[in-house]
Amino acid sequence: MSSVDVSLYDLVKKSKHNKRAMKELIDLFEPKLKKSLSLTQYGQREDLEQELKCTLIKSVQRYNVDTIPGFWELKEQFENLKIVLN
Amino acid sequence: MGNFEETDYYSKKYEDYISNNEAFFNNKLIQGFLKNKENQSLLMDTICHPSENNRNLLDKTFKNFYFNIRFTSYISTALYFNTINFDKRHRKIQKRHPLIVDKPIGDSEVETFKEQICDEKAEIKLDTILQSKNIKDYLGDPALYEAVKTLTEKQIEILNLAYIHGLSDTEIGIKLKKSQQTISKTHKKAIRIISNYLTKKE
Repeated sequence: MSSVDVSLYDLVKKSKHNKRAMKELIDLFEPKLKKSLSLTQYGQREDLEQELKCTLIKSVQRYNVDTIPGFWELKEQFENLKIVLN
Repeated sequence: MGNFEETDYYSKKYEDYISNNEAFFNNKLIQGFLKNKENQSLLMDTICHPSENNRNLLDKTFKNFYFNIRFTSYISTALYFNTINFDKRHRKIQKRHPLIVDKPIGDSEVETFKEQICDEKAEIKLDTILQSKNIKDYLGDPALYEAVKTLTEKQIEILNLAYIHGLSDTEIGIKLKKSQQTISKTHKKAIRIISNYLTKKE
């Protein structure tokens, strides 16, 4: 699990311009995709699967990886919040 | 001895640090991060030896941890709402433009055209099957059918009476003019033969 954890950040970053990484990412979310399919009727599942994969790709490309705060950044945010509250 | 004092000093320093930043360390996210023993020792190291290297490593580990949570939840939400919307859209279209066979008849809401369809040339008719006295006509499973075919006439007759007519072994005995014990024995044997046949096939 931890090897997957570490690479998710890198994987998403890489997948913006690397098709193979994107494929890996889609495979990673496959269980979630399959589970979502059960929310619709039988005949529609293949269509939905395609649609969801498309959504996944779009969402990944839209996602800004660098907005994630680091440990120190988050701590600073907390301290600023404390000052504001006081 | 000196080693022990050193660890003591460090753990005190660590605890001081945590109590100084209570609000931050009470945060669920940070607590989740520190639940992992490796992350905790990394933080301890960084507090006691705040080198650039340690700080960066902690930062990177935390980023990975936080990213994992945030990204997964983002994608899950996106997929979920997409599914719901897809389903809604599809239902709407289906309701507006039903297939001819799905159209309701007259004013009734329940009855549709497809319930009226009947295959005149069908060789297997539900009515004849329901009237059938033979257990073989009721079997849907090919393996089970093969198994029943290996039984003798008598065994099949007892199975018929037991499972299709719902008679007990005693009642079957009266009907066939045999003792209940004989019927039970034959009945059990028939079941065992079927069971053996099926397990052997697997």
